[in-house]
Amino acid sequence: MSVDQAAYRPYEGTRRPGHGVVFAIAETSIRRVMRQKWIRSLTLTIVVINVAIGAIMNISLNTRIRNGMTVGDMIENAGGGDLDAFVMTLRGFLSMLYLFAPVIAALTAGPLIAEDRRARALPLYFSRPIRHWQYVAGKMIAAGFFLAAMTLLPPFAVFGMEIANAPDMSQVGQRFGELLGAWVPCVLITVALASFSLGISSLMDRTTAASMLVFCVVIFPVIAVNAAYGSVFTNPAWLALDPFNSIVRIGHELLPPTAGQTIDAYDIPLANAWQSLAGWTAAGLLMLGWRIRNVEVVT
Amino acid sequence: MIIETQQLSKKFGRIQALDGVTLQIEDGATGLLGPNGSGKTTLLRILLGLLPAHGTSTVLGLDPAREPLSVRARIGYMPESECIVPGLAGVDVVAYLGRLAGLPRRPALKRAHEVMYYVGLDEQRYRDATEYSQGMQQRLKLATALVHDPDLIFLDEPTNGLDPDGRSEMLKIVGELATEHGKNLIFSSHLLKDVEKVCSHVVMLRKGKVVQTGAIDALTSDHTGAYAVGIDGEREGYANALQLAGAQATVGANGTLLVALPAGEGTHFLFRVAKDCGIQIRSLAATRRSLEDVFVAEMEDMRER
Repeated sequence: MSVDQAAYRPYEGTRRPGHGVVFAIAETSIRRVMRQKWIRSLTLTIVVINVAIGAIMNISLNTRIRNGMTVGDMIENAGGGDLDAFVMTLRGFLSMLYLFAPVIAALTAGPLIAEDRRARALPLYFSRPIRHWQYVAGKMIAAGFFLAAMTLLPPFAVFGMEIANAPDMSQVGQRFGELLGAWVPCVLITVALASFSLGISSLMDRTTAASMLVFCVVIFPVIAVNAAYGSVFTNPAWLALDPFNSIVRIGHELLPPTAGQTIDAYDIPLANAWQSLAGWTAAGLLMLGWRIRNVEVVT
Repeated sequence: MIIETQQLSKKFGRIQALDGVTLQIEDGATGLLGPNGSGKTTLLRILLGLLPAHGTSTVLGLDPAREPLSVRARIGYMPESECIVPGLAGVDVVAYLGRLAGLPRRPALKRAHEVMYYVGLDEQRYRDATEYSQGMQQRLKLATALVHDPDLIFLDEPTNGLDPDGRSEMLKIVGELATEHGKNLIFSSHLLKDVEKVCSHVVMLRKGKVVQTGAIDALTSDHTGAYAVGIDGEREGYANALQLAGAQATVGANGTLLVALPAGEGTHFLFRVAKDCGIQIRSLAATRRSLEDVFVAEMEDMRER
């Protein structure tokens, strides 16, 4: 090390306090999660599995249609109506979110704030010129990044496959509209799960405990109710609380069958579905805001 | 004037953390002295705009209650508690906090490397910061406080948990910031010698109240009423003669005789006794009060009040 390097030098470059803070927090949080090799591997595995399942489902449906089987025959037990293979794949995908989104939320979003709390990093952040909402937004983006990889990529991959195999290119516009229709619920579940997971994360100092709690709160009640009452529990209050039921409901609304649609027995009013997701998001954000504000005093 | 407060008060439940603190802090290095729980950290947090409080305050001409972000953009804060951004290498921690302080990405990283060199962590900068020893973490916290080259630096107990070598190096770095690089800093500590080594001014707090402020030189210039006497001859004999005449005399570590005069006597008393003993006085100096003397006196004074 030279003497010149060791000396303290004033900084004379640009300063833009408050600019790019959200991005810096999001980027660094994502990097921190990605440093864990097993999370990288698991995330990639789940994305590949989802793309593969979507592709197989789509190819299978298209093959059966080409072989003369009517769509109506195939979807007798899938809600009824005159669906085509692409829309059926997307609707099937929304139902699959139930399986993997909570796992990803628990593993990636669960520890995001808990590890800052454990390392007592919050006084370091908030002694900088940043606002509470910037910290929360940065963490939301980081949490959403992984969930979005889970939810947005597979439909896009199936869309690409559908377009590549489409006999008639005039369908591209319609297919893209259907893709967007599937993305809306994906974004909604991403926001709801990200905010709720971060809310839970802000309550804990232990990252593993935070992950476990996210998983338990989101998934455990579903398992418990299904074990107790069978696969379909039709209590309206319960259905309204279940975020995945809300997602499926909104998804079915945005990806409607063209004719003869029947409402599933466990469906809920559309307004309730929106309210349910808004409730999960608000609960997470309120917990988060409350903890982040108080932590300055506590530490 | 870098900091000015008027009747600053803060309560946590029933605990009065600050009680009508009024002070003015000039440019340079100022020590914030006080026992644990005296309100030092609370005062720093209020000045950072992190805590609301009664009363008014200005930091670098800005009101931290109204413009907390502008204040924080100009302050480098080294917290007392063990704190680290997890999951990042040391240099990335510093660069990240530089970005949060308003530096663009590339300059923040360049600057992070510079300050890591400056605080002596150049060889450890790519190691995961959570693996740092406590001494290294203290240096890292100092680097995060310096990365955006702030106008004012708050150091909250910077020598906490350091071994003697680490403490000495930390004081050297901090002292250089003030003396050679003209940085304004507030050095909060309960260790009087650390403050005396680094700071030119001091604010003493006890139970949330200011008990003394001023330049350390001025506060310690009052002599204690005792004199350091250098003599040519037998020290013990002269000491005994002084004690018989009513003075208090002890031989100091360096062989100098420390004498507290009897009430109503002046320095001529020392010469008179020396003449009686046939001893020659070679040097005579009034002893100055140490910062510790001042601090203890102020604490006792407040306790009596």
